[in-house]
Amino acid sequence: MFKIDVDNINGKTESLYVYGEDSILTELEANNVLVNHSCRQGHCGSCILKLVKGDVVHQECLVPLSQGEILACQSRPVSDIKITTKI
Amino acid sequence: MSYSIFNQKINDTLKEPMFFGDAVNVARFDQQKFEMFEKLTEKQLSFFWRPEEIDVSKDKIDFGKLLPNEKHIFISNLQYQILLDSVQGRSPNIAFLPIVSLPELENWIETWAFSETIHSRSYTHIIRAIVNEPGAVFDEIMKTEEIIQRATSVSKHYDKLIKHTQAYLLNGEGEHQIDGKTLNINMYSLKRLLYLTIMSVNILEAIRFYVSFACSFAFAERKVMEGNAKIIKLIARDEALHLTGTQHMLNLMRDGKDDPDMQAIAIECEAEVIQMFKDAANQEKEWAEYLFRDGSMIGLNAQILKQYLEYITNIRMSALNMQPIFEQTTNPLPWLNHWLDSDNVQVAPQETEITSYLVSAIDNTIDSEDEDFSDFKL
Repeated sequence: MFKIDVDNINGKTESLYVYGEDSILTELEANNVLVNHSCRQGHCGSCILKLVKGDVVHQECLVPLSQGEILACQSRPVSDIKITTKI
Repeated sequence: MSYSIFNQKINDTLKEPMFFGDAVNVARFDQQKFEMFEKLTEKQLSFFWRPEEIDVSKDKIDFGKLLPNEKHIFISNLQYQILLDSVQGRSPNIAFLPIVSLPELENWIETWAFSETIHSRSYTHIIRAIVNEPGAVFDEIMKTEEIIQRATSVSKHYDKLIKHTQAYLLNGEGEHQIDGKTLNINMYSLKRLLYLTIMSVNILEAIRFYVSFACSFAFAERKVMEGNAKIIKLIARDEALHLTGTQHMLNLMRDGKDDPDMQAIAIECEAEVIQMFKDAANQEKEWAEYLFRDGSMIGLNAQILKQYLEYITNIRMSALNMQPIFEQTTNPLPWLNHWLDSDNVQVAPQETEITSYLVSAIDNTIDSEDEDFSDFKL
């Protein structure tokens, strides 16, 4: 299992424990952490988060991402990670 | 002015606005003002599918076993989607192509509308498979008051924009007599109509479609009508792309990255847009009542569908940087995400490029201070 440290996303700071099988967006939703999203398919860029620590597997997306940015709908953790909202 | 299918004026498309600039002449994709539309087209082309690829033969057996109220939900839902895709299969081309000014956006609009026609074809494929007289289902659409009401609300913005742009393209700006009425055509009001039309399309693809998707997937969650759900899943994948297209256009306009007039219009129309979202949510709630008038089905009823409508309306408004209008809640239909995540659309490896990658896993810059390789010797 991997630990997702949620750092102040929509007012929530907590640790989630996940198997790494579902997208970070799905895991956040399952734990009632509200996060902006729309298409769920890596096109719209609504769910951009900042990856502070750890590694994720990231599927292809149409959105240009800066270093350290991930789309919650297109990424799965492959180690313990820490995420926060895009600054 | 009069419209020409091949504008002979030499222009720089990198300096044109998205709409109402010089008409596109050469369809060139070596340069793009807004690369996103080129990416959307490429993505849509990579999504190409045909309804015949999906086997819906088991759905006929399943359909026969559905309760009468469930048959009403299933068929009405499909009829509504037929209406939406009939509109979307033709209207982006008719409304937007005559006024578009960027080749990459022109190409995206054509590709977008074409994919909607595949959706329309897939409804015929499903209905042919599940009922003995498919004609009756189609004939009923134009006789069902609840569906016709929706048709009016989804097409009225398109109709107005088409009427005004046609008058403009034939006669230019000014006052014109059309059908015994005086139309006052000026560029600012045309742009305003365009903004509201794109917003109405966004609402159609981002909210109205999702009510139907929820119903289709609710059947498949019970392991019935799964062929239909597989097709709807492919349609949902396309629609997510389309709504990104309209969201992107609207955000470019509002952020002042396109036409300065459009930024002013976006601010001016904010109250009207909020009302459009409210109206659409209310109309879809009425539709939910109609769907479930004879009873609910396992996993879904009018109440939950209405909660989902409020949830999805908030999500779509946030994507356009607008304040949500309903109380913010978590998703009342969490199982829907399994059907809407692109990850779950299975493709054979030989049919697709594997593009998964590890973010920050590869570091191309190595210098003497990197300790990872300090023990390494040749």
